[in-house]
Amino acid sequence: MVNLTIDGKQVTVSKTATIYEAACEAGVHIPVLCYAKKLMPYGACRVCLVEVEQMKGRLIPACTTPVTEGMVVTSTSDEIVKVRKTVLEFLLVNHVVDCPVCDKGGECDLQDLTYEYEVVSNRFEGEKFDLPTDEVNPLIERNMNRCVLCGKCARVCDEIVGYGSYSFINRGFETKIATAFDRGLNCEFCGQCVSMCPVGAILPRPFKFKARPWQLKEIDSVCGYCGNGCTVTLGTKDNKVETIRFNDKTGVNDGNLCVRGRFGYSFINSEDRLTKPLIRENGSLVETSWDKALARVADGLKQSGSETGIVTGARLTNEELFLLRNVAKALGSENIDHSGGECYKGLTEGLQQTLGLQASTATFPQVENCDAILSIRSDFYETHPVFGMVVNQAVRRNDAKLTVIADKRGKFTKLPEAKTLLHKPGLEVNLINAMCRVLLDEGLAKTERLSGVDELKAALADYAPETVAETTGVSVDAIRTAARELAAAENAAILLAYGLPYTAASKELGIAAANLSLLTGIAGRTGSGLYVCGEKNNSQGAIDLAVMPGATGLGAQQMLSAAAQGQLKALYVVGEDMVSSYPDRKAVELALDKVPFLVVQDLFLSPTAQMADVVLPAASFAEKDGTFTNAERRIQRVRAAVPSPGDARTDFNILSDVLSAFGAQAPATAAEAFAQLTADTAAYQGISLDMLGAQGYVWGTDILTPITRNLVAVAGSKPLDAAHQLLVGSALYHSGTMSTHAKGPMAVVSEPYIEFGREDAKALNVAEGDLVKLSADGEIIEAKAKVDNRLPQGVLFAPYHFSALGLNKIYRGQPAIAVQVGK
Amino acid sequence: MSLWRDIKGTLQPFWVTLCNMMRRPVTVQYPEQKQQMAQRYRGRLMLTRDPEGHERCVACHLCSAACPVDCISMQAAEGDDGRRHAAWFRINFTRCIFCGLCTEACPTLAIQVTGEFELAGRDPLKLVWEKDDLLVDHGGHTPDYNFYRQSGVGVAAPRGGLPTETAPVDPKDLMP
Ligand code: SF4
Ligand code: SF4
Ligand code: SF4
Ligand code: SF4
Ligand code: SF4
Ligand code: FES
Repeated sequence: MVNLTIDGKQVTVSKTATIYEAACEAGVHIPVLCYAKKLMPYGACRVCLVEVEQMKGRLIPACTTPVTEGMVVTSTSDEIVKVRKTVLEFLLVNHVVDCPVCDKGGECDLQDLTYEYEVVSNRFEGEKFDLPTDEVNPLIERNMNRCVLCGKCARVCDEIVGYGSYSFINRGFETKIATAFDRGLNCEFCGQCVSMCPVGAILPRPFKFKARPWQLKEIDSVCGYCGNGCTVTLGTKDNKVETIRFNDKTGVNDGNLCVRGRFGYSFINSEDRLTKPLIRENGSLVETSWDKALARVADGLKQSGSETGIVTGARLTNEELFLLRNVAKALGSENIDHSGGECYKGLTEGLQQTLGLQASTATFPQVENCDAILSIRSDFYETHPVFGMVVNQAVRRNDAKLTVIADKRGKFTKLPEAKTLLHKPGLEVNLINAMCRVLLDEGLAKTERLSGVDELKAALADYAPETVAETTGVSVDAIRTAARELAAAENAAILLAYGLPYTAASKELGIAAANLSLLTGIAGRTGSGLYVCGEKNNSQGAIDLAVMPGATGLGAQQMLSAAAQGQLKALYVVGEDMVSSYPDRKAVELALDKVPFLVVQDLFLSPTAQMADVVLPAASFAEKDGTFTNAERRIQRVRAAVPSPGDARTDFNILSDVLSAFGAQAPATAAEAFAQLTADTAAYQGISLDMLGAQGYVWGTDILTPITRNLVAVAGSKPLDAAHQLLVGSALYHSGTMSTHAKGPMAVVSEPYIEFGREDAKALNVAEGDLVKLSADGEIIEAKAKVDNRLPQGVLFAPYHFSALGLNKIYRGQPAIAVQVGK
Repeated sequence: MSLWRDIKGTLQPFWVTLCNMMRRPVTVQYPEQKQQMAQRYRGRLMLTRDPEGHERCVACHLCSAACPVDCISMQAAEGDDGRRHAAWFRINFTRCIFCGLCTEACPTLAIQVTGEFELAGRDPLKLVWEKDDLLVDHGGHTPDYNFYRQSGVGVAAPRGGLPTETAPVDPKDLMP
């Protein structure tokens, strides 16, 4: 710790702090323009100049100067004010000052400083820019005439996002920020640069001219897309969500968001939202009143009783899931499940068998300080982008060694020094087994306290690195190095995401990852962690609350097959579009067709809802109060920002009504439900709403210690013998099927596509945008081709978000689908 | 003493009346006769146009922010030519207190006061004026000012093309 004096105030700060940080601590205001808490010190703007007694006669930037013992700092004096004013005059020499038509007006740092320092005239004269605005992409507008060259955009895009869109070009007066070859911006549209720009040079286009900042009401909530659980601050005006505001004070994401969180809010305001309950009469769905719809639901479910199946999406709040479980109880049914039932087996069964846990063992921010990171599947960045940014920071700032076990390249594989074990599709388990074998063979495994070591050793006989290298196509050395690095690291992380497009061998993968985490000692060690992360915003909550089949109950897939055989009397589907997203569409359709009574509760009239007997219009995350639990076990509060459109009601209200119809007691408010559910859930014992502060509350503390330490042998698979294999997965711009109703993500990726590697595209004579047909098992899907260099030869990729593609006609849960390509 | 005061008090009013009887009247026979308002009289508001005939208002919201009684509301929108303008603009004259703060806030000199004050009516809703009611076809007190010729780059004229500016130099010209 270092002691110093700022404006006569004594402060003690850590020795890595800068003068600016020390001043913040001391409550002394120093103006800044190019400083950002989450970025490295840079020192571009010079408005933070201060005087230090020990460096007499010279003004130094507070934001880049580290503190030293006994420093005496003066933050304001006549000279400092004069210099700051001059700096502002310089900035204003070529600034356009078109504040009346600039959306930043009202929250512009340059405006504020100009006002604060009373810069009313300029002693300097110079040429003003007339650079064309960059409006090539639909989400971000760049107007470089307003840029003050603070470099924040370039820094955030490089340091945190790892995309590297921008850099400075030209010299002197001509200096500006440009993209590669000064073409229009075309990137992953996370909008970090938008949130960082202190002036109106980079602005969100969907919000253009919508409102002034002072007109917006800000409500902190949690993103309703993925399991990352980023805080989104909804900016609302006239009861409409108009934008997402920057907020780095609340939540786990440091103000970072991905394209879905930042630009995907518009599904809330979508015209297609269901606003009235629908009921099937004479074969077609007609609008009806809540009373009638609820009466019909209550009747139908009462009749089916214990032979009702309940399938929910993992987007509901914890409170709603709790009510849903009570509905199941009231019906006497144990058939309750979520998200395909298959996709999260890695967590519920795999981790349960090995670690005795059903959650990630550590929190996201820890990953930044890891020395070695193993990402199983490169898709982790696509499913959990903001967590991916933490990985990027670990790699870039702290030289973490990143290894990616992947069947295709992706963002992770492009990070500096990242090693990619590019394998044939479906062989992740083989590779992890080989890594475990290396650890055991080389004596690197930390086997004390583990059970099942000998069994695992025996089972790994077939997984010598050489053998696995041959089957998977990865080099022996790479496997060895990966294992050694992971074992040698003091802090290490293993990442694995699961979700509807990743149902294949999910349990095996979960076990294999857990084995590796046990052998390396990662599970439960401070600073290290095994992260098995759910795809949806409340996937973890659904598992914590045991929204899973009871002892004799049926899982989602079993319910569907039971329904297809006429053994299920009713199905209650809440917030899930099974037809579009569950593996094997035909089977799902058949089941939904056969089931005598189908209730669907959703935001949109999805293909699933179209088959229903009763459709209940539900509310989006922006319209309800409650809590979500993110993939690192952080329970965070969701707050209602806008009213629901039309007659739509929150799932909480609907489920309460259903419960009352059965004569069961329902908690009156979400808060009451939270109290009941924490009392009812072992892991949540003793947590109250007040404990969910700005950073939420991580149940089980930051490091979750494994309850058991069992190694379990799992068998890998054999490579698929087919010339062309299709992989199913998530695209960065979308999440589930919900984002296909949001304008932002749709503006970037508006239609389904089939991705080809360059070699394949050339061999098959497929060009970008060509319509291609894939056939498998007599089913044909058709979409436009996208050509890039992510995919190895013989491997194709298609995202699962688009119902229209009918990908699940050929996807039945296989790790890779053998397809024939035609035109 | 008090007697003197009483006499003075009785006579003085007659004197005042007598003096004013001789003077030219200051009152007019309103509404038959109307008065010419002073130059800086703050009456009803209007939205003026720039010398090119475009709407001046860029819907920057400053007038509504300055308004102490919150009687101005609007929605900004982007025109085909990239100009920011008011999709709709509304002043509720039942609330307006004619303080003129909006005109002081307006960076484009769009909103200005008129000398008009006759705003009485039976239906208060008729005193909610829309943009069409407020727009006039002249530049008000400042006929020559054009915001888009000073700022708002590229919309009205390129940089350097404005009357007060010199054309931009191409620094690469100077290279040997
Ligand atoms: S960036 Fe700031 S100073 Fe520049 S025009 Fe916009 S609001 Fe005005
Ligand atoms: S949106 Fe994100 S990826 Fe694109 S330039 Fe900005 S920071 Fe970089
Ligand atoms: S565009 Fe914005 S963030 Fe980037 S350098 Fe310019 S002012 Fe800074
Ligand atoms: S989609 Fe996930 S990563 Fe993106 S903002 Fe939302 S919670 Fe964060
Ligand atoms: S201040 Fe002037 S330019 Fe701005 S909204 Fe009001 S009238 Fe329009
Ligand atoms: S804030 Fe210190 S130099 Fe910009």
